[in-house]
Amino acid sequence: MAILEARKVTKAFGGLKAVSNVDLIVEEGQIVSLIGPNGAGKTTFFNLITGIYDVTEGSITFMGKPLKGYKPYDITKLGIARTFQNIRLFSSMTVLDNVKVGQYCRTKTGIWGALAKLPIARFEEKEVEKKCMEKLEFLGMDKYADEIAVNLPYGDQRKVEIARALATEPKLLLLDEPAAGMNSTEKENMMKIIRQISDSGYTVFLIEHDMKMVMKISDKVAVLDHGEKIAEGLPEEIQRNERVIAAYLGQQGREANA
Amino acid sequence: MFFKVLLNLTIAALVLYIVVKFLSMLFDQVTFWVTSLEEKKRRYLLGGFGIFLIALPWLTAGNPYLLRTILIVGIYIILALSLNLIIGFAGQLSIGHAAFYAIGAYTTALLTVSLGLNFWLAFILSFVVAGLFGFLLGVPILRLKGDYLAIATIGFGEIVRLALINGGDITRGPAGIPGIPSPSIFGFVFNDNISWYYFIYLMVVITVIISYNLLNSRLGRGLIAIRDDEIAAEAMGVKPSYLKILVFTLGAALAGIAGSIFASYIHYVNPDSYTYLESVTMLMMVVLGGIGSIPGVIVGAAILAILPEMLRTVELYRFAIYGLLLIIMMIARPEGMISMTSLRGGKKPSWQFLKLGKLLKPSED
Amino acid sequence: MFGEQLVNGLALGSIYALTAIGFTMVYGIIRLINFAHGDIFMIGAFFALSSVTLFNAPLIVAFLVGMAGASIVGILLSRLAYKPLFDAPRINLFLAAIGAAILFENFAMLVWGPQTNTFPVLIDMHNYSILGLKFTTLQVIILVCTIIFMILLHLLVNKTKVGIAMRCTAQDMNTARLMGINTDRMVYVTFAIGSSLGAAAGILVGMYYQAVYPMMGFMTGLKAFVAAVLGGIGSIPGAMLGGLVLGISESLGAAYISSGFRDGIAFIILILILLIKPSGILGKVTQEKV
Repeated sequence: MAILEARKVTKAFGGLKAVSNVDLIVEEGQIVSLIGPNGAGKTTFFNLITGIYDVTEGSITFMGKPLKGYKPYDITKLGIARTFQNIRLFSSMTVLDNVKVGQYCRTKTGIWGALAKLPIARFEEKEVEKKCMEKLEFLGMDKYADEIAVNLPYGDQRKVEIARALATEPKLLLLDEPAAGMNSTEKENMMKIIRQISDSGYTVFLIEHDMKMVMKISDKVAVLDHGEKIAEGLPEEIQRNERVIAAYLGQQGREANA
Repeated sequence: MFFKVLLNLTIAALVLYIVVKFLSMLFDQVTFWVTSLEEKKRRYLLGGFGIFLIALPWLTAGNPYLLRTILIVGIYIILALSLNLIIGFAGQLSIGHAAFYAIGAYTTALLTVSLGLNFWLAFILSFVVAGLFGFLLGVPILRLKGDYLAIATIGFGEIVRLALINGGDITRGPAGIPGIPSPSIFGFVFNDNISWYYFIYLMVVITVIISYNLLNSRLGRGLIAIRDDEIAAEAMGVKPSYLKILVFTLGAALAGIAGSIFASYIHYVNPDSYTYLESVTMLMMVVLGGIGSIPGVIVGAAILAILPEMLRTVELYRFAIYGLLLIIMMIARPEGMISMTSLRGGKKPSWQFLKLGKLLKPSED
Repeated sequence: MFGEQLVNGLALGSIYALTAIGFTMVYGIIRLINFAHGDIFMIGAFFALSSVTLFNAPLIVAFLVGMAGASIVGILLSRLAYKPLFDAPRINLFLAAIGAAILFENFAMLVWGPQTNTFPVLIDMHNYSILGLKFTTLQVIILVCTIIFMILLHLLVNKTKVGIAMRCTAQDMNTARLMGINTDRMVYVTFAIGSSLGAAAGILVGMYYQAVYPMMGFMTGLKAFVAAVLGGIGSIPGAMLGGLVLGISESLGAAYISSGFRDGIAFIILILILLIKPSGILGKVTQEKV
């Protein structure tokens, strides 16, 4: 079943089309990767799904529900969570508090409950703490729970972001370059984490530059170039696709030769 | 005259710079000491402080002037903490807080004097009315960012003050409304400073508890998330507009309570007590103490409420010094005396500043 | 009545426009709402006043003294208070500006006293009739001065090397620095120009109302900010337009609605414009990059 369906999605900034006429389907339970050269419109596409930008033309539906007019927080509540390419953790918070923010939309304590610290609020708070610690344990980050999140090394910050996204209890998880800036051991580890996430029932949609990783873990790969989708299919098909090689792999090949 | 004032202010700037640097070190040391205490010892310390607070009016016996100053400090702590909810927790710069203070004070004055209502009813209604104004203002203007919001709140503060001056028979213009009665409870009238002390500091304690409870709740985390990174907060499911309006309303309502207390304590309201400079003073308390830091804001309020009493000899220079202090704080210690980060403890402070080399080249900090 | 208020509004609007330019130029270059700008306007007026009362200076000299003095104050302000904060969060810079505003207001109270000082009448007053509207000499002077300053500013910003360097710095300070522009100096130049135009406006206001007092910059500063936002902050033509629109609507509003809330009109306009079109009439829309 399609969990996310983008139909003829276009986003224009003034005259420039950052995303143009993109059709894409993400099936439930799959790991789908979105690749493409820098500036191809991948992150813009994520921003369209999560409601940070409004779609200029076309439509995005999530579990059969059109997302038009939904604000980012509504979309998160519906069940789409994300991480950011340029990590955006809350700088004054500990790792645990960062993750707890993810639980915000799944909890109900109102102003009076919070101010008076009513028993129901205390109970909810305990539940939140338990769930968030579980997410941190899942990512092997529980030992850093009380550290200030932004003081952690880069790779660990990415894991905290993933834990925070999982704490929103999403159905679809968007990862924007989860392995960027990591060495090969860290990348292996990240790949394992993504697989585990997928195995525990989440659908994963990710942007990634590392071809080896994309080819290994994806069930399906889509390629953007200059805002247009130039290919879509199984990893093996993408590797052989002429247009992709020209637009993207060719560029990487040149980099590798240099 | 021109050069004399210029010289005085230059000297004041240098002195302030050194004082700010020195106080920073001192507060770092104290904060480090307190945060590294064991939980149990900290409880004892808090308990000891509680007993000190209860005993305080008896310790100042025979000095009504001192006790009066302590009461004013209490009112400013409530104001500064209520502003801290808005600036510190939600990260929304508001420089019109005196407007809500005024609304609370005038609500109490009008209800008790003009309508003859019971103080406690007026007290609660001051909370409600100030909160209502906070809500009505917050809905349109909290969409603005940073300095735009600040200027809109300055504008609101001025509009409220103009409305009070031009309010005709209702607000009685610049002359204000005298004759606000003292509150009484079960026949016991608050007519001495000691009963006022307990009442005001009970409200202070409640405000402190409210601040902590809010900060440690899901709403508090949502607010801090908005302050740190609004876009990420939204993407994590936090609805910024709702939380900002909520906390703005709460902050306004608490300022209304402070206004109600102040009005009935001095039995009088007039527009001069609620000017732009009053808003700036509250802002300074928050900035000096440490934006977002509850102990910091209390200390900031205490320092700046006592300072004018100590600066009597240079009374004329008071606000010039505030201006200088604000600039120097931003350059030398923008996070405030007891910053939110220092409250987490861990880092051992140093007295580096006292080394001469640093003193000679202070601009390198 | 309408004509009289229109002329009054034009004169007032020109003054707001001159002041708003200082706001908009500084905002353009360091993204700071220089809250102390209104007080530089006041300091300029006081400098001019002192040069008249102490040294019997003629009007033109008073103008030069006020403008030069204010630009020195502006440069000192940017060097001492703002420069150390260029890399700090913008909100710290803004708080420093608030501090500077309070400092200037109280500095003026200490030096010149809190009372209102009368600005002496230095010109012969006549009435002129142009296109059916009645102007006083002073209103003519205000309009002519404003037009002259605007033309000079336009030439400076668009036709000179300094102007190009300033525009580069405003667009992208880092790139401008890489291109060999001394960006710090451009910041000071901007402050100097903005401050001297503000001072000119302050002197004109002092002459118009024959009153100079320490808090005169507070309200005018806020209104000039409104004018700058109304026109689109960062845009010089926007500031001119915004100033005129604000001046005229204020005069007409005070005449036809209520004079007690004359000062409130600007804030209502501010809140409306920020809600309806926050980028202002001539401003550019920007979207934050995620």
